[in-house]
This record gives sequence, structure tokens and C-alpha cells, in this order.
Amino acid sequence: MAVEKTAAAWDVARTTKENALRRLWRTIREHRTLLAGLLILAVVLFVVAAGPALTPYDPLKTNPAIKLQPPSFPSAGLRTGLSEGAHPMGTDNFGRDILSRVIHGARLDLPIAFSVVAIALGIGSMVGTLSGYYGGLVDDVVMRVTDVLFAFPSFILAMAITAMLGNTTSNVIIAIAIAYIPYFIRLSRGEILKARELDYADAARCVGNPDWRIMYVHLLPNCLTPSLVQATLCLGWAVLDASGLAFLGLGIRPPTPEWGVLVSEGAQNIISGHWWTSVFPGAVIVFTALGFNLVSDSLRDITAPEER
Amino acid sequence: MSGLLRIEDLSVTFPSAGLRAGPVRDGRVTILDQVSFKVGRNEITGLVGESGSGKTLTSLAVMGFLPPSAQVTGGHVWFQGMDLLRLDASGLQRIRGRQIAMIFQSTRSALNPLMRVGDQVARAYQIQRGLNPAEAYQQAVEILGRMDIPQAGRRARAYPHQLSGGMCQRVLVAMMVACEPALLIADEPTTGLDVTIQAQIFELIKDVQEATGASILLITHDLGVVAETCQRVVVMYAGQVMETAPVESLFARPFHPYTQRLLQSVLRVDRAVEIPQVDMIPSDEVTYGVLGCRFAPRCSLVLPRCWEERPLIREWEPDHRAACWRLEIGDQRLEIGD
Amino acid sequence: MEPLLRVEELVKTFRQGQVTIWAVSGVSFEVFRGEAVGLVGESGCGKTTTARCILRLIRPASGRVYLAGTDLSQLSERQMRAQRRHIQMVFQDPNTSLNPRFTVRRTLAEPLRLHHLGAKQVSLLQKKDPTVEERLHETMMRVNLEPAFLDRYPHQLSGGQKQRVGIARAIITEPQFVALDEPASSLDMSIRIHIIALLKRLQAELGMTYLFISHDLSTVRALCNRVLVMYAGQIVEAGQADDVFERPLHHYTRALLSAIPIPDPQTRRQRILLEGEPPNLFEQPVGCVFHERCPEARPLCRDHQAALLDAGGGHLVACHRISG
Repeated sequence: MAVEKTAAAWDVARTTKENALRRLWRTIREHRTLLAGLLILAVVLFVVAAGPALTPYDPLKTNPAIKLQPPSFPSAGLRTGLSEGAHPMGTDNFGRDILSRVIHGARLDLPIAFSVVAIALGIGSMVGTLSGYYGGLVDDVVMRVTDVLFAFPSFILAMAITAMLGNTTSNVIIAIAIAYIPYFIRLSRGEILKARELDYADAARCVGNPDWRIMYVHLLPNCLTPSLVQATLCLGWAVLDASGLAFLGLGIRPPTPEWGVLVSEGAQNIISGHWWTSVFPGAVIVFTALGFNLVSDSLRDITAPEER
Repeated sequence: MSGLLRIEDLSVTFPSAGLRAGPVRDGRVTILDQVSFKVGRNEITGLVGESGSGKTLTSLAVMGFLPPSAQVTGGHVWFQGMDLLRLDASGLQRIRGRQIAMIFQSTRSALNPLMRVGDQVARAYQIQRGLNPAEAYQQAVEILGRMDIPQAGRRARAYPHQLSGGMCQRVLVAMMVACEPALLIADEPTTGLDVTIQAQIFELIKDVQEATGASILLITHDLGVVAETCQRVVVMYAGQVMETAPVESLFARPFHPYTQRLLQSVLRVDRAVEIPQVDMIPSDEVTYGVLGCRFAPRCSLVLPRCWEERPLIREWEPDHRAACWRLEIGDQRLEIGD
Repeated sequence: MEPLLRVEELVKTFRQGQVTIWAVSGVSFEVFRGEAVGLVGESGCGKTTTARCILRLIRPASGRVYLAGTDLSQLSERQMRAQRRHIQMVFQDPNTSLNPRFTVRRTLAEPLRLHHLGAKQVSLLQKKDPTVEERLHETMMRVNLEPAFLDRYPHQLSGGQKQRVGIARAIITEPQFVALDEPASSLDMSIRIHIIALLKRLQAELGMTYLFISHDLSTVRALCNRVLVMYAGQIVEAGQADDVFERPLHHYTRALLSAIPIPDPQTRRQRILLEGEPPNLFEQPVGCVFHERCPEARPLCRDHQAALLDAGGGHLVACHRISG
């Protein structure tokens, strides 16, 4: 319509003059949830990166003399960092500094989460693309398998697989990834079904592309957005699932300072009033998952506002 | 000089996002620039121009459908003694549908997808003519039949999505007839329809016009439609009126260089024509930045004055008006070469 | 003389749930080297489906397509891909026919790389091969686009510019045959004439063979030397453009032509209005596809399809009334 053309014509001038970085900044500013989520994640990722430099205590070294001490803060002020004797998150029943263990736990849980999502996203997208593009028998088989996987709540499925494979970190990653793969299969398949009807898919065929290039070089990169949004959501779930498995005694076992292990170890102390041993690790899990959820939520609003 | 609808010096501005120079004054750009023309009684007037020429905007201004960001900065729209631009919301409400009706391009979205078409037409009768539901429905079926919809009784019970584009357009025309407006504005009513259906719709519109004596403002970019359907033509470019004339005069003796260019470059099916030389289209910033005649950047007969000063629209032949400095200085009026 | 393209009894059906739609039911025609042939008809007549079958974008139910003597239906996927260098298509909607993530350069260089038309076999990711660059520049100039646009993305181009990229992509491998599916219909009417002028110029410069699919007969008249008229999945009339446009034989062609408004108020014409609507093609047509709407239909028309026969001078028509 002429009206839209006129109004839009002047708008073009505006958007092409803005470069990508400024647009990114503007997007962040306009979506408070995104900003909040990114801040949380920034803190968490900073901790993962800086890691041991943030605390002088060895997370594995036991010191029964100072066991179960409540949270205490450095007396000499932050300039000297954590001086000996200060435990901002208290100590556990082996005298280990909880903050140090939480920090080391981050260096476990976060990489686990990212690995899980990378695997699920990678395999799920590739299979979903194949399924959506070819249709027919391939599609039917993939869809039935996906249905089966979806029949189980993802946590239960991860539990079952971990129990089957054994309690190692890599098995945890595999188990949770398998539970998430169906989401990505379904999302990418849906997008591919739409994209393959577009002319550029035919055009790619027309210029001589083989099927695999049409699927993976032309179509899939254009269909990733919903999957990426789901991926940020899955990062949050993965933190919860990995911790959850560890809490139940599957996957990672003590004394490895994984967050779920910490919560599990600390759980027995709540009754005796030493709440800090499980509450702090639990809070950190929630905090991290919240960060991912906020980012995911706002990404979803940004990329698909009509589903709000 | 009084027609049914008289638009006088209508100017409309839009906000310009981000642009600082060029056509921008106080953060706004004047899109419609002193548009003036009339729609006569009991005739079909064509409003012709390329996309972006302002023809749809003009019709929206008449109906009071301009988007909130638009601002009318001057002019009048005289209709039956009233200035539509100065009417309040309730005044416009009374006029719309009853006195002035509009058909849009996208027919399907103009019809309620949840109501059977027969009911929709019947409702028009109920509201506009005060008939009771039973009578209104009867009338609706009858009018659908007169619109050359076969098996009108059965079709009336269909929903819009079950009908083809051509059928939907006929339903809309039926609704218009039910309202018996004095003025009907039809904005590219056959976009997307097949040629044979298009022909049928235009025949229908002509018949309706003859039967009801309504005036029709037909907005189109197709000169063939104009030649076969309209009695008068208004030619617009970039928000300015370039020429107005009875249809025979316009085609036989186009005065304005833009009209001449349009007629020279039109392709025909009844004879093999050479594909015309095409020129570069200047950007909107350039076009809307011109203080004078906005066709200047593309005009092969341009004078320095054309850029600075807007030529006045003058009558060069009975009822045949054009705004061009070349005409003022008595220069050539090219006949269209065959 | 051997035709460049020969289509033989092409049939294409679509299944929609329980229903089968006979989109194309027995289309045959030839296109000779250097010709510009228009394939015209209204929506649903099967012209786009025919083109897609020729280009092997969809599989026909039956029928053969010969390109320079090679039967395309007998080729394997790999062999067909090699043939695609010689047979290209320009798509209707420039907004969906370009990959939004590819720069113009990548879109245009891809066919060159796929068919090894660069200087040497380079990885498909590599950017600047001088032979390829030269070809890119040359093709951009041919379609009136500044080479600077090579680094732009589709969303940074106007509709007309995008369509030029689509045309550039189709001609860059110097194909023998190009099918154009309504290349100007989606564009603003002021841009349309630019694209049409470009196509005319390219036709003259490059000597390619075109199949121009359109519902806009005025454009076809200006661009094409031969015309094929389709209705309900079949060709009802074919011949030199001047013959078909000025002396239409089939009743449908006559109705179609009479429906097109002429930009000349002096011309008085008798408009032929057709009754009814096109058939819904749920079954393979038995008689003439047009018989229900034809004012001169006879019982023969209902039962027997008329073959497309020469009525004199290369002017073909499928009508019992004419072929006797």
C-alpha cells in the first residue's frame, strides 16, 4: 500500500545508517529482561573464567577444625581480598570453604550445560533438517522416534540413560543431550518445512546444488533462530538437570564440587540448622538458570513477538 | 465547477525518521502537496499514478482514514457542502458507508471471515436502509444475483474463504450498492485478479454506476482501465497533481510531459510496440526535496524554474488542466506519435 | 532444424489429501534456438507447473523433456546437476528467491563454482578468484547493477535490484535456455518497465533462448516472437505472436484478449464475457477442457479432446470447430 511505502521509505534511511553494534545496544536497552539476564550470565561466566583466582582455598582440602562455620566476611575489608579465616558462604561439614567449592562447581556445570546444548543442537538440527526436507519415510521414522523420546519427561529420561551408562561426567552430558535432541529436531523440521517452499530453495536447486548443500548451506542457517532461542532455554534446563542428577546420586559423585553434589551434601545439614551448606549452592543454581531463562524469554519476544 | 467531491489544495505531511536535510522541514516531509481536483456527478473519474504517487493517500484523506502519524497541513475536501477535513468523528461516521463508500485492494480482508457473505450484505441493508433481518436477507440474495453471481442463494451461505477473489469483489460491490453511496472510491479493486475476472468486475462497476447514478473515484495505475472505464482522469506524481482532463482529451492531447511519458511507455496487446527507453528513477529524497514540480528530476523538458517554483495548474482546453512551466511559456505540446 | 527444447506430453498431478488435481494434462511444444516464447494463461492454468517440470524442480507424472536432444527425464541426479548449467530459471518474487544470508557475490559466484567455471577448482568458501570476480563484474554491469552491490545483502536492495540479481544469477553460467516465471509481476509498476527493457536488451545481446511465462499479455506481446496459450492444463493455441494476438482462433484466446483493457479510448471493442469458471480439474479431462464455457461447443467437444493442429502457417489451435 502506498501509505506503508511512504512511511517505510523514510524508515529505510534510518535503519541502514545504524550499524549492527548500535542496533544490538539499542535492542538490549529496549528489553530489560535481556539486560538483566545478560548481567547475571556475565557474572556467572566471569566466575567461570576467573575461577580459582577468586579464592585462595582448595575446594577439596578438608579441615575438620573449621567445619560447619556460618558465613563470615573478611574483616580487613575487600582490599585484601579474602583473608584467611573469612568464609563468605561458610564451610561444610568437612571444613571445606563453600564459596570455593561453588566457584569450582561453576567450572563444571557451565561447560556441561554448553556441551549438552551443543550436542543436542547439532544433532537435532541436522536430523530435523533431513526429516523436514525429504519428508516421506525418513520423516515418518524420525517423527516416531521423536515421539517416543518426548513421551518421557526429559529428566526421567536423563536419569534412565545415566543409570544405564554409568556415573561419569561424559555420560551425564550424553544422557541430557539425548533428552533435549527431540526439541531441536522438531523446531528445525518445522522451520525447514516452511523454508523449502520458498523460491530460494528452488533456486539453489536450479543452479546445481546437491541436496546436502541445499539443506545445510542454504536452508538450515536461515532456520536456526527458533533453535537458538530454545538453546538458551536448554542451557538453563541443563544446569538444573545436571545438578538434579548429581543431587540424586547419578552422574557426578562427591567429592567433586558440582553444584548438585553440594546441595545434596548440604541437605542433611538443614535440619541441624546449618542452612548455608545447601542454600548457597542451591541459590547459585537458581540464579544461573534464571539468567538463562531471562535471556531466552527476551530472545523469544524479540524474534517472535506474535507468540507473546 | 462544483462536482460531487472537490479536493482543494490538500497537503499532508509525514514524520521523517532520521533524515535531517533534503525535503525535511521541522522533522516532517510534505507527501501530498496541494492536491486539487474534482469528481463530477454521475461519472467515473480515474486517479492515475505510479506506486507512491499519493493516490491512495488522497483517498484515505477523503475518508478520514489517514494514519495517526499523518498530518493535514492545509486544504479542503468539499463534499455536499461540507468540508470533510473539518468534520468531527461522529460526522465522518455518518458519511462513511452511507454517502461515501470505499473498496480496497485486498478484498478478502475487507470481508468478515466469520460471517456468511449473505449475512454481511444483509447487514448493510439493515443498517443503511433500516430493513428488518428477513427483508434484508432477501434483498441481499437478490442483489448478489444481480452482481452476476451464479446460484446466488447458495453462494450467499458461503464464507469468504470459500469464494474466489473475483466473487469476493462482487460481494463487496453488492454491499456498496446496498449502501447506495453518492460517491464510491475504488482503490485498485482488481489487483491480483485474473484478466477475464477483471474485465467482469469493471463491467459490473460500470453497470452499477449507470444504474445508481453514483460517482466513482477509481484509483488505478493501468491506463487501459482508465481508457475503457473512466470519463475523466486525474494524473498524479509524487504527491502532486500533474494533469486533469476528460479521458479522450488526455489520450489524444496529453499536455504534461509526465502524462506524455506515461502514454508513450505503455505496452499494448493490440499492436506490437517498441519497448521505450527507460530512465533512472531518482531517489525519494531528491524527488520530495524539489520545491517546485516534483517531476523535474526526470523531465526531459525541464527548465531551471521548474526546480524552484511550483507551476500553477491552468486550464488549457475546456476542462483540461495541467501544471507545467513549458506550457506557460507557450512551448510545444507534443502530439503522441503513433 | 532441431529444437533446443522439446516437451512431449507432459503430465503433472498433485495429490491434496483424497483429491488429485490434474495441473498439467498433456502439454507438448518446442522452442528453437534464439526464440523468445511466451507461455500465457490465467492463474491455475498450469504454466508455472509446466516450467517447474521442465526445470526438473518437480517430477512430472509422465512425459519427456529434451534439452538439445538430451532426455532430461532419463538423467541421474548428478547428470542433471551438470545439465543445470545450461538451463536456468528466473523466479517471480524477488523477496523470496534470494537467500537472505548470502551476499550478492555469494549468490552469483555459487553457480560458477558449482560448475567449475572459475580459474581452478577452488573451495566453495573462498572469496576472491580473479576469473570469478571478472565474471561477476561483467554480469553485474550487464544487468545494470553497480559492482559495489556485490557485497550487499538482499534486504539492502530494492525490489527491482533484487530481481536484477535473480536475472544475473540465471545468466551468469551462460545457459542455453532460460525460463522466466512472471519476472516482473511482483514489482512496482514503475520498475516493471525497467526489467522488461533489460530482458529485451539481454535477449538481443546474449542470444539466449527464453520461455517467458506471464499472465500479462501486453508484456508478452512486446517481448516474445511466439506465444503458447494455456488453459486448464493444456495448450489451446500456439503460433507467432502477431498471428495469435491479431487473429486469435480459439474462443478462449479471443475472450482473453478482449478482456484486456486497451489504453486508447477511441478503440471500440466488443468485450467477450465468459460464463462460468475454469474447471476444477479433479479428474483427467476427457473432452475439450473449454467446452463448458464455449458458446460454440458441440457434443463432440464434450467427449473428444481436440488435438493441437496446424491451422495454417504455423498457427496451431486445439479446436474441433477449426480442425473440422
